[in-house]
Amino acid sequence: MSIEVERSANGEEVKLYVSENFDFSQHKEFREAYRNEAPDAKYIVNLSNAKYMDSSALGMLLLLRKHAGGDSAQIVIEEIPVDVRKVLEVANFHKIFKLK
Amino acid sequence: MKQKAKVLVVDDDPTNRIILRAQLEKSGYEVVDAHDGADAVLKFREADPDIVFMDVMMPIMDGYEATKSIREIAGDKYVPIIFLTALTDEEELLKCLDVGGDDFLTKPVSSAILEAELKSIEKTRKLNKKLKIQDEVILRDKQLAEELFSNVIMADNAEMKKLDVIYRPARAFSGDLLLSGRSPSGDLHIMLGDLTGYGLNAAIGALPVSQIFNSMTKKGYSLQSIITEINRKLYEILPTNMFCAAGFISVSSNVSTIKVWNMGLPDIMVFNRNGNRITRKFSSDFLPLGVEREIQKNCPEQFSADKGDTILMMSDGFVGARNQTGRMFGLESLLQVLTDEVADEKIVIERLKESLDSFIGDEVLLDDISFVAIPCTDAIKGTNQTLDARQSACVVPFVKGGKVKWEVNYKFYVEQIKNTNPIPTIVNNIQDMEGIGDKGKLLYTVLSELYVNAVDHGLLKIDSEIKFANDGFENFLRERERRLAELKNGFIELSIISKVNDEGEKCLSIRMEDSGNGFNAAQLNVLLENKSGLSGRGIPLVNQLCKHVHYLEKGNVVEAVFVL
Repeated sequence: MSIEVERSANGEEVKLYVSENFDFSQHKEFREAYRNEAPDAKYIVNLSNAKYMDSSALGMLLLLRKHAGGDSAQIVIEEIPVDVRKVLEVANFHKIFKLK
Repeated sequence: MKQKAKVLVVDDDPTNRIILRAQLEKSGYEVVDAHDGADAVLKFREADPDIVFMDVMMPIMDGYEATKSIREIAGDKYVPIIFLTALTDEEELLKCLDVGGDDFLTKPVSSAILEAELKSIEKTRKLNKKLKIQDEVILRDKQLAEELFSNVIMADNAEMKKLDVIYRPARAFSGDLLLSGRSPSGDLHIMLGDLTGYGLNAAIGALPVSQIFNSMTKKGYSLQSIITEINRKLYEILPTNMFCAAGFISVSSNVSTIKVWNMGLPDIMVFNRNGNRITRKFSSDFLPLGVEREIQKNCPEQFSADKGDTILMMSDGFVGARNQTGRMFGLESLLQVLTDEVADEKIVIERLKESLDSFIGDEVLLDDISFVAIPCTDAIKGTNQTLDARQSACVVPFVKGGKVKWEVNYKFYVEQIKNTNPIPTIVNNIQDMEGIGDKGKLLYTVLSELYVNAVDHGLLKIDSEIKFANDGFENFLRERERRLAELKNGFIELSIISKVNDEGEKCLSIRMEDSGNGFNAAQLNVLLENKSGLSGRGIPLVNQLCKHVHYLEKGNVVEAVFVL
């Protein structure tokens, strides 16, 4: 599995660990990982393993955001490597996600 | 469509041929046979079979040679060739596969084994057929995407010829589009967009973007309104995971004021040839188009162009282009070419192209590469269509009375005034109603100038003297933005009457009133009479385009007559 999921005991927090290449190849697994989780859960995307991220990965984050309620979604993206952070910032995703 | 395939049976032993034929026909296959390798090649050409059963040892031409020839004839077509052999030597068996065979069966072949083999062949044939259809669909989509792209999206892009552009599409169209257009007032609009996705996927988003961009530019909408509209459209039609990173640049007709919107592109930069360095950078400051319904903040970066300025805008495929070693082209290489001592702009672009192409070499591009350089020189100056067409307008003296066809009143309050300029829509309506074609551009100029005057000097009370000081225009725009944001109340009322005057001329009577304090109307009217001494280009232009312009009351009402 290239996406690993960690759930808090009460199911209120869902943490997704993305693997090395965060791109279209992870599309299906990424979606499967949160599909059955509650939309109002707190989502955390951990990018510590990601070396590379492309625009389809940005699109995948937008899909997660939609699942989690769109404008009202509370999604944290954490442990972001420098190069990957650049991709997120150029797209101004810090305006709709919380980058840690 | 035939359900069962045609089989070619090749064997020099007639008994074997008869047995195999009987078994195959029982299973519903159509059978053709050949008695040696040479005969097999001949029959293969004639009958175009779907499956071949091939004996190895035969006179004249053996099974290996025949298989090689058949493979050549078949080309891309999938034709399984099954060797029937009494051989047991491993090397000989492997040779069957080497020359192009798909499998081998040991003679004598039992009917159970043959059945099993045929089942397996049918399965593979089915998969192959499916794959072939899918390949064709993909190919068709790709061609369609490219066709759409070149015919619909890139057409109508005349202004692009004046700019320096490098465009290297990836093998499948991957969503970069470059658009340009000239507004009626002579402003140049440029967009570089980078849609997510590939092929038809990306082209679908590109279609409405280019249509909105082109038609709204032609109708005189500001680039800001165009961006808002494109964003709204993409938000509606694109799936959640797709969006469009984009950069927009608007250049005023006299190439003095430049506005820049960066919505997800790499830094847009200004390179100054005289200083031989990058003098300004505009980092991405907006979410890409299509992510959110409304753009949160929509005020562009703005600057006055200096002599020798060139604006550089590129897609991330440009900075991210990789060569065989995986190294990126990057900004350093760009700067190196730019700062090389070369006098001519064109040469720089040629060298940049060479440098990029030799860097990429034979590597397959994964993303489109787009780069546009906009030289802030007279080359991109707006040909002010409104001024060119002026002679044909309004030469007949003003006449009162006449027959009224229709009239319309608008009253705009602060909320509307702050957000959008209503004039393009109004002009469009009149254009549709009166069928006035090119005159619409002139009418647009007249109404815009009067409207902008009413906002700037009436409601916002900005002294136009400010424009003529050093850095004046920039200060003026900044001041305007500040005051507009602070504006609490006020209105602008616009009345338009369409009539045929007593001389049978169709004309529009225009009245614009603002809630401001006005100014010395009498003095202004004298200046209008003399056609001199007015500041700015706005009112003199209106005066030229209309048959009659007159300020009333305390100077907060203006009336004009425009001949259709």
